[in-house]
Amino acid sequence: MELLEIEGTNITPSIKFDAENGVLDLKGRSIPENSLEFYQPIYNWLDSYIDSPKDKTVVNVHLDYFNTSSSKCILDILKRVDKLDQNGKDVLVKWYYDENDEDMMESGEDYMDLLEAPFELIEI
Amino acid sequence: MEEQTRKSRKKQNVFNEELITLKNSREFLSRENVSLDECKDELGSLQKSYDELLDQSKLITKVSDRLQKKINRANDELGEKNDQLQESLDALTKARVGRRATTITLIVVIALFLFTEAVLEPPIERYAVRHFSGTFASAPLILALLAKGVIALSLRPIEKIVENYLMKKEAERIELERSQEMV
Repeated sequence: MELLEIEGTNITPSIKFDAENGVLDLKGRSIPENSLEFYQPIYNWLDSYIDSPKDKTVVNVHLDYFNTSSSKCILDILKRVDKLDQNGKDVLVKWYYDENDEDMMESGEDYMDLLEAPFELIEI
Repeated sequence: MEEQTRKSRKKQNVFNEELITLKNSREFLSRENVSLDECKDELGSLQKSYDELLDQSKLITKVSDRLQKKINRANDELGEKNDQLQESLDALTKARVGRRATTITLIVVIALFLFTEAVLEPPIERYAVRHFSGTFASAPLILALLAKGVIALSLRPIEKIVENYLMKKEAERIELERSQEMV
């Protein structure tokens, strides 16, 4: 599978999904006008990855800010990754948040509650 | 073209998958001769989707509340910064107007001094010589000093009047600019 790499902007996060190493990185700010337009290629890539995943998949999420529609899209991404866990694959979601960013930590906790896959909250 | 893009964007909805589920469910309901097993399957699938939708709703509500809280905080901070900025601007305007008032006052005082020297002093001197020269020899000098003293004492009131006038003009100018910006 090809590497999915999208450069971040002021309103969209940077994406680096590396199927070879099973590492998915999502970093930055997510406030696109049309969230689905931005996230659809990521869904498509993940759907293909789920068909032939690595034994271990690590998802690194480090967001500064995201709007409500992005929160739904992020959940859709994590739900897809959660499927891997349910299929017996080794999955780890790492949710990074900046020191003193309590809101982002709480958001991480909310996602953690909705997923079955192992989930780490990491303060940086 | 733009209209088409707008329409296509409108069609793209983060709830696309949920809308598909709803559409499928409606289609199922409109079907006739459906077996009990099929109904159970459909209900099971619908219940799973509903579960997920409820999870999403909970998450989105929490995220939205947090965003609102963040916006409120940012608004408060912005209000405070705005007040600070306004105070600084007022102080700056006052200082600028004060400098201009001092300059104008100095010009006025110099003009008054020259006017006293050139125009007022000769008649004062003549008046003093005529009326007090016999009794009070230094009367011309004292009268001249008195006139200059009056000018010196009027320095601060003149400056205050000029400053108030300039401040009023500045306030009018700012008000006019604001109303033009609003238009």
